[in-house]
Amino acid sequence: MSLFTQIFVIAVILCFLCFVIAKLRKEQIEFRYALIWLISGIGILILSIFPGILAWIASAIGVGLPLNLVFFLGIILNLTISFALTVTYSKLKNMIYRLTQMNAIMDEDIRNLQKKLEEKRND
Amino acid sequence: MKKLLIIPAYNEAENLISLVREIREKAPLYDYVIINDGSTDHTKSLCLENNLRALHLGNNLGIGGAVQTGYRYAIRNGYDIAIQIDGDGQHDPAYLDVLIQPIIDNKADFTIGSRFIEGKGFQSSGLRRAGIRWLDAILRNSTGLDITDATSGFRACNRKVMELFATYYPKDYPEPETIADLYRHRYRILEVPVKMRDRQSGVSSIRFFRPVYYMLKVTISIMISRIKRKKK
Repeated sequence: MSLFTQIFVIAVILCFLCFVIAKLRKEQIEFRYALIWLISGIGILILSIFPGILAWIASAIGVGLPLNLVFFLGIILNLTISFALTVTYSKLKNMIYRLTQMNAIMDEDIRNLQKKLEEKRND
Repeated sequence: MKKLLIIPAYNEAENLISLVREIREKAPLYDYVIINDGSTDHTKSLCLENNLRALHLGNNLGIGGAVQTGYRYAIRNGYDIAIQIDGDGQHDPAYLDVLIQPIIDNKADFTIGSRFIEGKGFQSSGLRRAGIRWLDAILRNSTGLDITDATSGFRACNRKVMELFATYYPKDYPEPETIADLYRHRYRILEVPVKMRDRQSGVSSIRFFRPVYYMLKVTISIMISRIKRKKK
């Protein structure tokens, strides 16, 4: 990896980390979901500062090209995050269902109460 | 005994008035509640103008979410028996007493109105029948139950089953899966012969067959239901 590539990658990762932190500062993302992005960003940052680590891991587990290891880890990370999002989405969907259902029931309760109140007034 | 008819309706405005009139004539001892599943037609204004008892969902939840609303409402208002009946006129209120009799006699916790036991009335198209037969076979295979009309939306249940449905009810194409769920929780399931009619007007949106997804979803969910944990 040439020095220029290395600096470029580090710059991109730093921009990304700044972006995540800015979103956290403005309270636009939940910390819980920002955490995995922060950790993976910092991990990539460390690897791009010390590319030797990646080469060492690759040779240790028998991956010929360190770059292939990068792709592999990237795909695993992506799959993990999208699966976690599917779980979260399912939870949210159940919450929305419950809210919508209770809202409709309460709405009917209120209408009935109003009717009763009017009847009482008219008596 | 307090009995509630749960009528899920999505854009069924044309059918509702006649259905409610039919219920009042043929089954005056039953309360009813329409679940308006975020209809885009004039279902809501129609219900308010004609003073029909209805719950209006702000979002379109689909058949499962709509029916579950009805079960929650039934529990909240102290009903002993809840009956699900389609808003499109397919199910004849004349059969309500027959449908709930096994529950009143404490011979079943859950009954299904089946159009195939006696083979009378509207029998659905050949392709749908083939699909239903497949689901019946899957259910028989994983539960040993001999169900003839697994997709029937004409069903009645007692309080205990309502409470189960309030905690979990499948969101789309729920009928066959709920049978497997009830079997897992050891509730007694019984089929009752009924006659069904062809829908009176409109297009069946609730039970619209998207064949590939339908078959895959229901087949897999029945198999998953079998390995789910029993909550108690």
